[in-house]
Amino acid sequence: MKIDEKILKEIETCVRCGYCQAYCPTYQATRHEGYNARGRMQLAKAVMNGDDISDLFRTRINQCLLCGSCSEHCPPGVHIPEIAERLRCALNEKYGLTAVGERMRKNITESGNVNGDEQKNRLLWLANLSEKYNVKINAKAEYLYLPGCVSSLYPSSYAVVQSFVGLLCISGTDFTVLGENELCCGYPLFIGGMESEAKSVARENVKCVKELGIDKIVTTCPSCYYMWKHHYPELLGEETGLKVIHGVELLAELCENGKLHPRELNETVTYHDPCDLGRKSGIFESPRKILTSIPGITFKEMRKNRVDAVCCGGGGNLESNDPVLSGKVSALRISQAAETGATTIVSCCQQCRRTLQSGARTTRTRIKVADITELLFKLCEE
Amino acid sequence: MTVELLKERLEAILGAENVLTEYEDLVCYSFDATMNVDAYIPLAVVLPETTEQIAEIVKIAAEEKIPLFPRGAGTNLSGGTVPVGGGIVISMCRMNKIIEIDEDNLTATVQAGVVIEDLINEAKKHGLLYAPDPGTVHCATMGGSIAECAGGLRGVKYGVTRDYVMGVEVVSADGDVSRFGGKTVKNVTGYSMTQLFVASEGTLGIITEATVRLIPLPESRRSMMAVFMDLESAGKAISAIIRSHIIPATLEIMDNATIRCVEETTGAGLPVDAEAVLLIEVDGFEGEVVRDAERIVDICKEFGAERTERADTDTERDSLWAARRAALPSLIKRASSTILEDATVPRSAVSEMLRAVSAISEKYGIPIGTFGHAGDGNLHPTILADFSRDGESEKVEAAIKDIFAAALSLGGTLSGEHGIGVAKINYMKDEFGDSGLRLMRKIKKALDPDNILNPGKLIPFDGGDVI
Repeated sequence: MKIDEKILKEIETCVRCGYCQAYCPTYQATRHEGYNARGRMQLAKAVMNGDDISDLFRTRINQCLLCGSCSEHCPPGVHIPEIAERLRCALNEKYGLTAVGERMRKNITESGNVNGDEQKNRLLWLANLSEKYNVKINAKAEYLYLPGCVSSLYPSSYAVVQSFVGLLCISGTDFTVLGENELCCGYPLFIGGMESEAKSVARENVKCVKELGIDKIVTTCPSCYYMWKHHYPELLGEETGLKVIHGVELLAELCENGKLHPRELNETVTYHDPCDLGRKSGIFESPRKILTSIPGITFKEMRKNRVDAVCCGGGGNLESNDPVLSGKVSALRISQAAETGATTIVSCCQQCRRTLQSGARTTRTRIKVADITELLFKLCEE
Repeated sequence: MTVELLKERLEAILGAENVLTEYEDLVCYSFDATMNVDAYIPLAVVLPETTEQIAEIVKIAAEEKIPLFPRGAGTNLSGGTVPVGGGIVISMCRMNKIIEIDEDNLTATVQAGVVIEDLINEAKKHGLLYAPDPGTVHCATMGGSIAECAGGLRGVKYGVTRDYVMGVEVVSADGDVSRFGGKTVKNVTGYSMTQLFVASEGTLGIITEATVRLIPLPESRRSMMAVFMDLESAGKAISAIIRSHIIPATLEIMDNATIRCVEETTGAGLPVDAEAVLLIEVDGFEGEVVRDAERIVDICKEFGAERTERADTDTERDSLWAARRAALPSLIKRASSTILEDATVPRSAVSEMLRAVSAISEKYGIPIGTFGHAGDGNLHPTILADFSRDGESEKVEAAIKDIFAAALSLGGTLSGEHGIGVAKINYMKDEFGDSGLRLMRKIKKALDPDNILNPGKLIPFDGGDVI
């Protein structure tokens, strides 16, 4: 299999110490070394020396959440998520896309969104948003808000975009959305080993924003955020010249400047760090600042928080690649949230919200799952 | 028996999802954390959840004379869990229930696959401490750490795993299940079977459950660092601390090669020309801890420490220990392969041993950084090897041989806490001579006549060199 020398060398830096067993969520959920970062690296090393690559090898590489928790604690500092991404690329090049990968490619490159929906449906969430909130579409504004595919197209996630838009309106922030012109950011393609497709999506997206003449982008999706901020410059070979921020940073600023005034909430709340926002982007304090500033709230950290936070089970396209395994990881994270005694687990990501909700459901854990936008909007809405 | 039939029989006991026979899965159980030991692909891997399942598996293996390789987290550093020659790997990781914390008897009863840190955290909730803390505490299992008799940083004051194991449940080579020891402090009924299984490296039986001792969590602690420009002074300071009847919870040392490595990777501000850095922690009651910390700082100064630092808060403590925590990662990053040894000497010979190791490093032209538990004499000479160089394997092997010889000549032992496994099996004779080996072989043969329990480890079954 064709795999560049650099990646092979990187794989060889794994010293097999096995520390990753304490951090790899898929290992924690299965206690099976084939689902562990070390297992994946050693398997890759063993298999790459031969010509015959099996489906099982591919499955194992596609089961990595790319959450980066292993790398964070890896003594020799092996960049496991990057290796898994490169391996996915090499496997796609040699064997073609998997059925899941092909569907994703088709949806994104042909329909413009991750689930192959009609683009005009991107604004359905507007239908039951109170009329007092005025949303500009494709207009000149200070911020361009990108809700991302999941929040705009999955009805169960509309609450995220509706709440954020409500909060922007209440705080008097000038913003616009692209509506049916918004395209998937390409992150699922990138982490699914389809780099060239991701690159053309990136190019198109940057062009579209530049044509609108806006240079500040805010998104409530940590993956869109990470993709725009970190991978776009890398894929396009140049800085985008755009200021990209995550919604929670803007909300923290609005709270601090007195533009948002949450009412009292007498509840115990814990916070789940999304991987792309926390460990990968270093945004840990903004959501905590917001939560601890809400009057009446009792804030409890989970045992594994910030860089040590365990993925919700939704990373690395796992929900598409292996929904059962994804569910096991969510159940694990929900059990850690329940340990704190919190009645609500808050996150800053529509994907975490989805997977954690399903984890709470399957484990019959009595805990509410909310995006920070939802929680804050309920407390600020007049 | 064909692999297909074996698979069928194992699946009947465990269910198909808990028997792995695909090459891709077998590869993941073909190695452990030991760098200089070859991987072996096993016939099958099983993931049992009960002692009864293990007993059934052992019965099949005994009948068919198939080697069994019990395995926890596979973090050991002596090749102890590598399925040498092939066979069935028994992963204990799914037997991870903490059965009981008994606050009246100060014991914990755990399944073998419980992660050590999970027990430590659980005990902490009751104000108790499980003291053994090997470097792999966050991922290694109780079963593995008992089978290897893991040590750790707190050895100098709290001893090692052996000192905490009060009872075990064991599946023996014929598939029988026995329990030895228990919750009583005093127990002289029969041979000390519990202790026989500690450090037996899975060669005498498969530990499935254990009862271990817990102690009250110390109330307070203080950490200190002392930098010495010459090794002898550091050695004298270590002896003086112990001679003044202070037993620190930890007393760690890093040699010059390690200091340089740590400084290069972390920029922690250590002087690169220092010959030794000592990191010391005392724990106990607040008054005692404050007094001991002051005395230790005075002793270090008296013996010529260039610099001493004391941490009074948790944040200061963390930054003091950051350098020690960075020791192994920094060394690992410097070489394509690192071989971590654990030759151990009486603590009075620590500085002599460090000198001997740097002489060996110079002799073979191979960088060796040494750090470790100076307070209990357990040092970790870490060989930074590059096996792509001609003749490197031979040089590394010769250096290891010299390190062992040096430790034995100073009244020490081959291994303080990593075990013998396959990596040191051929050196056993140097420590025990023929008579000692014969006696140990008799024990092995009595308990495992067909050599199906972790064969090829710890003791050469038929005499002579194994590999």
